[in-house]
Amino acid sequence: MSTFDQGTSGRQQYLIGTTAGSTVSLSEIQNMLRADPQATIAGVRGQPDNPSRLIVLLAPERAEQLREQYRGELIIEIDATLHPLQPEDRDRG
Amino acid sequence: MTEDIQVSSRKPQFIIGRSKALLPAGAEPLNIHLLKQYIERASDMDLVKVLEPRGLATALSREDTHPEAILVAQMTEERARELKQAGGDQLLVEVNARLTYAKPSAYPQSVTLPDSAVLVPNKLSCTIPVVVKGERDQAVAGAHVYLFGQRSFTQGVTGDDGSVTLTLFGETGDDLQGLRVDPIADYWSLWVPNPALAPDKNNIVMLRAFSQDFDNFPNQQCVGWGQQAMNLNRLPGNYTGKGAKIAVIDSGGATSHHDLQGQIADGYDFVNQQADSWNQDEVFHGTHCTGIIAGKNDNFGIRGFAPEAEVHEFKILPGGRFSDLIDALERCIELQIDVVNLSIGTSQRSLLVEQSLQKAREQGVACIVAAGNSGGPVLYPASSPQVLTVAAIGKRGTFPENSYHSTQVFTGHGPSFTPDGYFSAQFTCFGPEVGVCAPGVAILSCVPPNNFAAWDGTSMATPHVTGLAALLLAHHPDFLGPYAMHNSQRVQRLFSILKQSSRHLDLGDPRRVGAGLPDAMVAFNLAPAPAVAGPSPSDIGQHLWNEIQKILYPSVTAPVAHPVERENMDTALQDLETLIRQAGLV
Repeated sequence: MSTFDQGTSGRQQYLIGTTAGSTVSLSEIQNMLRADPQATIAGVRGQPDNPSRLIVLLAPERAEQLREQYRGELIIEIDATLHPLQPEDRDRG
Repeated sequence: MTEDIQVSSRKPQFIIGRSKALLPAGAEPLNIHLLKQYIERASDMDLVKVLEPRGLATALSREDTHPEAILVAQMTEERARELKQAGGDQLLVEVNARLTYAKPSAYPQSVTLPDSAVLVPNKLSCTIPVVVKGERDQAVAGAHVYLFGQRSFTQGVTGDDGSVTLTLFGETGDDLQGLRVDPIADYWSLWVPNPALAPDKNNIVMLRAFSQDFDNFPNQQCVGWGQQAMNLNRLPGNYTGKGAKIAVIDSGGATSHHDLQGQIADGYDFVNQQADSWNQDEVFHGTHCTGIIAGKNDNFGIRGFAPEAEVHEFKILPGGRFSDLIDALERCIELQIDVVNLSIGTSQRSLLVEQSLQKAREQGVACIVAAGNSGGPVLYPASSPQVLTVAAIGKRGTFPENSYHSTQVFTGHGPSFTPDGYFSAQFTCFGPEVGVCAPGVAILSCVPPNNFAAWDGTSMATPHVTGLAALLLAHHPDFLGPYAMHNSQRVQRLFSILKQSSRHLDLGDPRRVGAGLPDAMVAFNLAPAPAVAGPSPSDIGQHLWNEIQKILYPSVTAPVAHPVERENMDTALQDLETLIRQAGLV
């Protein structure tokens, strides 16, 4: 029987990095998110043992929770899509 | 067999009647019956109908028209103006405007559809066959054809026989607003306002080949109007960009194109994380931008600004995100790229991208970014204070009058054209962030596999500035001497030279053009700097400088007494802008 994973509905891709002077290790955040059933790590940038950015699929509510939890330490932003800049029908910017 | 007709513009419809204004003493009242006869006899006007007033007894004979009747007629706008002028205060000539019926929007705000608040009647539709032909009546395959009705638009792509059939629902064939044809390559686009199209006939559209306007193109090289406007063609022949490193962060660059063969040193596909797919450009956008920057300077096709520069193609489109942009910027820093072309954007902002842009600038990587094409506020990353932002301009006479490019003229407050024929593009994003403007309408450049297309966009304007920047970094004495080190001062100096060399364009709103159009000859001190119109900036500049010093450097009790220098001003203004942004005031 097939299952429908409601938890993945509405998830978006987020980009997570640290603020200047942050004491939080992204490596620890990575481990925490790996254990989080609501999160999927889509990419890790920088050194494997010392990442500089994480690309993570999250529900907006979970992203907001993390923002609150790590206020001033982490930057958590939507990993927005970029578009070529031609007029009108080609421009979705 | 379906009959062929040539597609032309439909004449607009006007309503014509007598004004209720009092007649001047002794003046004869205008005879509407004579006017009706005049319209009927005229070969360039069509009388559609006569609206007789109801419930009024007419004193005129059966052959006469009631003096208060309203005539409905089709004619050109010019003829309508002439008629209005001849009739003076006694005659009213107005556009017979369409009325529409509406209902609340059926869509959420996140979904945008043209005129979504209009009811589409289920059983009303018009189906129009269109055939697109080019040189020697050859069918043009793959052309995008758009048909604009009153309430919606539809589009299709021509098949191998050049034909496409378009259906608009909720429309009748007599109220179409426009027909637009965008060929993939080799021809100019076409715009037919108010097209007269027949549902039961093959409506033939003839496209104009580039070779009709550029001698023997592409077998003879064409120097684009944009390059000429920036005086690239007047620079000494040894200014080729050799030694400068350029990165194009875009959709890749097709090395199948003659003008790009051997021109791209290396690349990387950040979306697919592959080293060898950067030269597959499905979008064509990166190839077009790269042609403007580095197109080969031989006898074929087009020429780029810096054909001997070292070009790196970093593919992040289609599907690219902020994370891919950061990856590409990091690679630029790693490779010590001199100048980056970013003809991409989004309405979202990012602190993480901002940090990367700042880091790039500190490492001497100059980012030149397209303002955006939504005709509103400058998009991101163009709105970042770390970059040089480029708006788009066009020039009259550089494209056929009936091409879609002719619709791109911005008509706002102030003059639409400079005396030289330059205009601001209606699509360009604008704001205080705009540093300079550059040619971005009807720009001819490369598209895969080995063709050429004329495109519009701030995307096309930006590579003009990137190309000139690469020439400066390779050959200007400042960057071989005092500004040779890769740091933020080098980037600041580059942006200052580009702005200082710019020809001011008076198009009403300076936010649409920034400092103006950069000039290669002036930038290299091979021609005098353009005169600045209006009051001398020196007094204003000195005053502003003093005020800025008080804000930025409060420990200094008295302003420094030396005359203000443009470069100091630029740096100080940039610091001030950063402070203002950090304070959350903008």
